[in-house]
Formats: sequence, structure tokens, C-alpha cells
Amino acid sequence: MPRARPLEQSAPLNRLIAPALAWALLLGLFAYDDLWRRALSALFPDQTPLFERQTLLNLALEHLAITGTALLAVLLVGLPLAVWAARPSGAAFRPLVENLVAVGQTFPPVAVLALALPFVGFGSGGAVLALFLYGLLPVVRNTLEGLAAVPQDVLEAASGMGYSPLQRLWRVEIPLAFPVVLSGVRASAVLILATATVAPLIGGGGLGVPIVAGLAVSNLAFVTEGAIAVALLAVLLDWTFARLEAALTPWRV
Amino acid sequence: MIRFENVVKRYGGFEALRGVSLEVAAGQVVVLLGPSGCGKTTLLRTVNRLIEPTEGTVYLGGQDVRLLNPEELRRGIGYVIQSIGLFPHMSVLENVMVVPRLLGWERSRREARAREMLTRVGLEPATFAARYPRELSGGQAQRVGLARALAADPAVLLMDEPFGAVDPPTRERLQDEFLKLQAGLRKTVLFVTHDLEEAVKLADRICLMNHGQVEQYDPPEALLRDPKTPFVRDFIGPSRTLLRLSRIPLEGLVEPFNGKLPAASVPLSAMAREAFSALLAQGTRSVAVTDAQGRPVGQVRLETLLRVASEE
Repeated sequence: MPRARPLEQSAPLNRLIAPALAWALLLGLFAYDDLWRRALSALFPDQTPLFERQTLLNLALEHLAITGTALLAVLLVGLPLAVWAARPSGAAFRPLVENLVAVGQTFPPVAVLALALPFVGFGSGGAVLALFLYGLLPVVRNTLEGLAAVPQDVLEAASGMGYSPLQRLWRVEIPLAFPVVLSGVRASAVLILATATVAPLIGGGGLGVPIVAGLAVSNLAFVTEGAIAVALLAVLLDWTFARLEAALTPWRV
Repeated sequence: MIRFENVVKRYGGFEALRGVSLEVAAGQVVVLLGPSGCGKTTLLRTVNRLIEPTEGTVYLGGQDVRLLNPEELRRGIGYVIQSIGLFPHMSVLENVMVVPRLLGWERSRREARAREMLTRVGLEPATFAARYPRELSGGQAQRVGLARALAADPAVLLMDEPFGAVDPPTRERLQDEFLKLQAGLRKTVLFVTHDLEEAVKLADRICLMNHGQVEQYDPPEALLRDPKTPFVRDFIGPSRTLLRLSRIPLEGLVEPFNGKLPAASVPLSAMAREAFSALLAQGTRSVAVTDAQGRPVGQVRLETLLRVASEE
């Protein structure tokens, strides 16, 4: 039997204190150049240990900026698109939407980069566009799935209580689909963060810069520096979303 | 209060309702009874316009429901379904406040009202208000469903097999509590079930349906005593005498003791059926009747029960 819970619950934001601290720690670690230099020169004694043109912290922030911009675009386009395709009014377009976003992901991001180059030119803009197309699928698919999985009896009760179709969408369907939607956002975010390492191929920045440069001059220390940093960011981002999920949906098991 | 006038519902070639006309008086519990597929749920759902009749008219308080905005209509009608359909992402209190919120009540008023309704259905607000539906047992969830339906004080309550999904002892307790609640509230209730015993226990009038038509519409006593069609007779089956006893209060059948006190006893508030089953269990010819404090006040004899059971 579940225990009685006081009505005033501890604010869900409390659960996000730990992720916030972890982010501060990780960025602090990126700023600690000396540590990286010593670790990398121990691993690769004969090579220039640290990428010198830009600090690691700068590269990481740039990487996060590209990721964040692409993710924002994914949310702004993907969420309304999926909600619309799940409604009776957009139902006819649902297969089209599903196929389009699937094609967006089957296209290799490097190819998208190359194809986007003539339209958006060199720089981070093209990278953001490619990442946006690449990251659309998990958000759209999960939103469609989440809305379709709302139990029929709950929908019937909602209509029977007198919710209008729009009120039902906002107050019942979207909140209930939210956990599934959020895990789609989480998948998209991690995917975009990891894939953003190809951005330097068309002149974008981020943690791909030392990797691409290292590959060009056969400097494994540069490659390792970028790769480890991206991996750390990906793990932390994933965990942050897991905490966010728990904080925002206290009604789940 | 509710009037169905020649209501027909067709799905393609299938006729779910074949011209139902029925009048439900204010403050009564009318049970729509029948085998599955007989159209009882379809008929119920024409009242709050979750289903629109193909032909015919449903009147609510004298007004054609088609002329009302469906959302406003539904906010004025309590609705309870078998699967309950509590909103999993809302606490118990928020669930109960749904309709008052849709009606635009102030926060303090709707919260006070929701707490009052929880108490009424036997759920202590201090314990249950903050729980989520997944933390409730089936019986508790059904009570919340009832509190939610009653929260905005609707004159009409639609209940679609509300106690169908809970275990038998819980069902019986919910039925008893529903009767007690209804005695105080006097709602107009349309109640769907396929359970004859439940219908006999709860109904002021039973509307027995088959193949989208009304077979008989009568108070339970009349239905059991005088089945009008072969279908009704079959549906009621051989236990109709026993069911009639379940409608007769013990009060009025009690006689003073003559000689020794019978071993078994039943409470005065019980129905004749309980006394009869006590007699069968004991193999005796009389059973003691006790008041609320457990003091014996008299006895009921087998002969008396046999007489009232066979009375026309």
C-alpha cells in the first residue's frame, strides 16, 4: 500500500540541483587546461598534447551552442508538426510526416552537410540545418506515439466531463504523452550532440575542430581531446534529461 | 427529467437502438438492464451526446439536447464509466476538481467542494487528496470517479457499469454506499448494468432491453412478479422469487418471540432475503431479528417469508 504523502510536495526543481552542479563541474574541468595537457602528454608523449588554437572550454561552449540551436529548431518544428499529424485534422498527413522525418535520418549527416553547402554557405549554419534534419525523427516519432498511447477510457472520460477537443489536447493528451515526448527529445539531443562533431567539415566550430584537425595532421592527442570531451557531454546530457523526466512527471511509477 | 422519444441509432445496416421511448422521473434511479449488445450503453450515451441518435429526440429537463452546446451539456451531467478513466497525471483532488474548474469556479470554492465530495464517498481528504490514481485500489478509484462525477452538483448522473470491474465484496459495499448517498442527494440517475441482482438492488425502475428495444419498464417488484414477455421471463430466470425477497425489508415481517430465542440472528435493517438465507443455513424455522445495538427485538418465521414470496 502506498504511503500517504503530504499535499505540499518538495518542489520538483530540487531534483535538478544535482545535474546543475554536475554541469558546473564539467565546465570547470574543461577550463582546467593544465590537467588535460599533462594527461594527454602522458598518453601521447611524442605529440603536441593540447589543441592550441582554441581553449577546450571555448570549443565545448561552441559545441553546446550548435547542439542547442539545432535542438531548439527540432522542437519548434517537430512538436507542432507531430501534434498536428496526430489530430483528426492532420491525420491524412501522418504517413507523409512520418516518412519525411525518417528520410531525414536515413540520409548520412555528412551528405546533408555537403548538399546544404551551396544553400547556406560555410559556417555553423549549414551544420545546424543538417543536425536539425537528422534530429527530427525521434521527437516526431515519440510525440506521435505518445499521443496515440493515451488510454481510450481517459479520453472518453475527458470528453464526458465536458472538455472541448482543444482543452482535452492541452490538459489531458499532451500531459499524458509528455514522458514519451521527453524521451524522444532526450534521444534527439544526444544524437545531435554526438553528430555535431562533423560540423568543422563545412567550417562550423565545436569539439569536432580538434578531432578533424588531429586526423588531418595525424595527431591522436587532438582527436582524443575532442572525443573524450564530447563523450562526457553526451553522458551528462543524457543523465540531465533522465532527471528532468523524473522531476516533471511525478505521477508516474 | 430525461425523456427519450423514439430514439433510433443505426451503424451502417446495424440497428443498435430501434425506437426507444422512455421517461425517467426526477430523483429516480433507473437501471438500463440487458445482455451485452442490447443497446443500453448506446442509449445512455445519447443523453450527454457522446452518441448522436440517427432518429428521435432526447430531452433533458424538457429541452432537446441537440439544441445545447455539447460541452456545456456534459459539464452539467455527472458521468461515471466502468474503467473509471481517472486522469493519471492529476492528483485525486485535481481529478475531482475537473468539472468545477471547467465551469470556472474559484480555486478555493472548487477545492472545498472537492474535499467535501471525497468525504462524502468515504475517502479521507487528508489521506487521499494528494495521491495519484496509480496509488489507489480499484474500489478507491471508483469512489474518486463518483466524487468527480458529483463535484459540480449535477442534477443528472449517468453511470455505465460503474461497479463492474471491482471484486464482489467491494461491489456490494459500493452499492450500499451509493444507495445511502442517493437517499440524501436525490439525483436523477441512469445506471447501466447487465447484472440482474445489482439492478434489483439499486433501481427505482428497471428498463430491461433486448436488441435495441425496451422489453419491459417497471419497478423491480413488478418486473419480478409479472414478466411481460418470454425474454423477460428467461432473463430473470428461476431465482426471481429469491430476488423479490431482496426487495422486501424485514421491518413489517417481525413478530414477537414465542418460546425460546432462535440461535441465528439478522439485523433489522436487512432485507427478507438475508433472513431466508440465515434460515436455510441454520435449518431452523425462525430467526431472531436484532436492532442496531444488537439487542433482539423479535423473530421472523419461515412461514411469513414463504407467504410474502408467493404474494401477488
